[in-house]
Amino acid sequence: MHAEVQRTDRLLQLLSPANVAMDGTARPQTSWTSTTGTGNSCSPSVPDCSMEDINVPAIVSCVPQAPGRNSQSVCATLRSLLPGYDELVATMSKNGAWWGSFRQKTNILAPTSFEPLAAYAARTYTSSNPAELGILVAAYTRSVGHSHHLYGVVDSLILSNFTYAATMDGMECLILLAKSYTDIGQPRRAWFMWRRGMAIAQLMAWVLFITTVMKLLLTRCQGSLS
Amino acid sequence: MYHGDRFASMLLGLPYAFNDAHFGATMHATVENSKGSPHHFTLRCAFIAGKVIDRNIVPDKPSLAKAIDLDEQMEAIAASMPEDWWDLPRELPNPASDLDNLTERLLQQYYFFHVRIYIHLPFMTKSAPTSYNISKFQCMESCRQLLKRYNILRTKIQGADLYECKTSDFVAFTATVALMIGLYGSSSKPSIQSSDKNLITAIVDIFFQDTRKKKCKLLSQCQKTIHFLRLLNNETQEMRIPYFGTVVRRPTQSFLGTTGGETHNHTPSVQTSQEATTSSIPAIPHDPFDSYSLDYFPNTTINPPLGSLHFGPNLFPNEQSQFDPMMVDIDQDWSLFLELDGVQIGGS
Repeated sequence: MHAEVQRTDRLLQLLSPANVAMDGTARPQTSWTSTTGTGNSCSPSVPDCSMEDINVPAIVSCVPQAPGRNSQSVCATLRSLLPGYDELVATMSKNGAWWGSFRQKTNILAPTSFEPLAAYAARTYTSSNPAELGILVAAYTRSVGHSHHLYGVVDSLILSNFTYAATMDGMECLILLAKSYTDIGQPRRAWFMWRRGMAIAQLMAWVLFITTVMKLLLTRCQGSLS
Repeated sequence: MYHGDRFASMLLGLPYAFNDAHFGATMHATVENSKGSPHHFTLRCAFIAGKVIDRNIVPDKPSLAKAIDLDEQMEAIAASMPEDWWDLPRELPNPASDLDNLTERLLQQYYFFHVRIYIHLPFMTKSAPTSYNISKFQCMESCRQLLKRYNILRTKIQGADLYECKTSDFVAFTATVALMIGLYGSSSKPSIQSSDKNLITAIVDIFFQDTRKKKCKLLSQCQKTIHFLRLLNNETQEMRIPYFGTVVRRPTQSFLGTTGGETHNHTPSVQTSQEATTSSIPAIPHDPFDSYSLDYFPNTTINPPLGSLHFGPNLFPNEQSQFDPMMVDIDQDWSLFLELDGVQIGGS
């Protein structure tokens, strides 16, 4: 039950308006939780429609994946957009200062050890989770400061596929993409991205949980402030 | 996502996605009565931003009384934070964690003043009566405070800015223009303080340096627009700015009398971002504040009609889709937004 509540918290914090920023990202914290521990595995060939989570709706929709695509193919395509492993890690180490603030803002409720961007890159470079690789490609593009067309590729491969988008990693990928669009001076694209994220959340009936968990968050905030 | 949507919706003049009423009365009461919480501070600002969006969406004449009411709510939000929370540092802190905290605090304040500017922006128009001066004063003061924070956020540390975001650059640009409209408006003018001139010059310098080093099209257009608005010219010129409105520069009668109606066009040579790499900031002739006036006309439509958009280069060549006019944005040529019946940036 505690794990379910934690997973609910982890999901809802991504949507929680109690988080602080003017561009959609939240107050920095010092926490990061591996999604593999609390999130659902993103394997579209086996949708996670677990009915055991009686208090949490299925995070991954049972909508079948796009025909002609499987997660391996998507992962391979995303990985092909990245440079070699050594160059990738070197780039992330050099230009990844933004990652800490971003990860802290999307992980306000799960205070665990922080994973630097280079370590995240090393861990997810061979991942079979398309959404994780989407985050990696977006993070690389943001770190390298050019090749902004890669954001569109991540958008079309991950966020346009409901199976991938409606996951914890998918939503985190969406937030990263929207923030990146804002940073490169494309607020219109960012607006579409935020709107899509809100639509996914509303479609998954998360809004009801947001208001409930917001009260929980406020209670915790009040407790921490007193 | 809530905050991102709220920020982008206010900037672009679009409806927001989430109705704050759905939080419920209990949540609102808790947030409204909170003290000293940065979380709640920004959330309350977002609530006000939602009300600003509600007002701007409706094509009715905005109510000064409602704007003052919103401003009083912003004042209460400001008062909910400790006084030292608002202090601007004289120098940047040393540990990286303190730097992150400072950046976060400045961004929260940046958002606060952004919302406050938008509360009062509709009352900066040419036709605004003197009773609107209180709103104009508040708008100008919010612009100053936002620009001071922008100045700090763009401080370079080991070659990199403390915070870099082109959309925030655009917000700072619109705040600069709004401040200039307040200073050089055709209604009664207060004396222009040197602090305001220095602040505007500092912002323009930031835009110019980035244009020179990074060849940034957005900042190039921002810098040229401000430069163009400050020209001494006996012609009436019109500048249209995406998501902001139209600014009309007119020479004053005293300036026309001084020049005897002769054409004294001090238009500098048009510089592209490439040409600007080796030159300094183009010198502005002495511009006494009574030489020209700036008048502001808000956008009357939420978005420019599709028919006014022009096709341009495909910025996403790897995509099979053709150029998408719906995705024209401020990082591209602003003429793609605007009907080409006025003077373009930098002169014809």
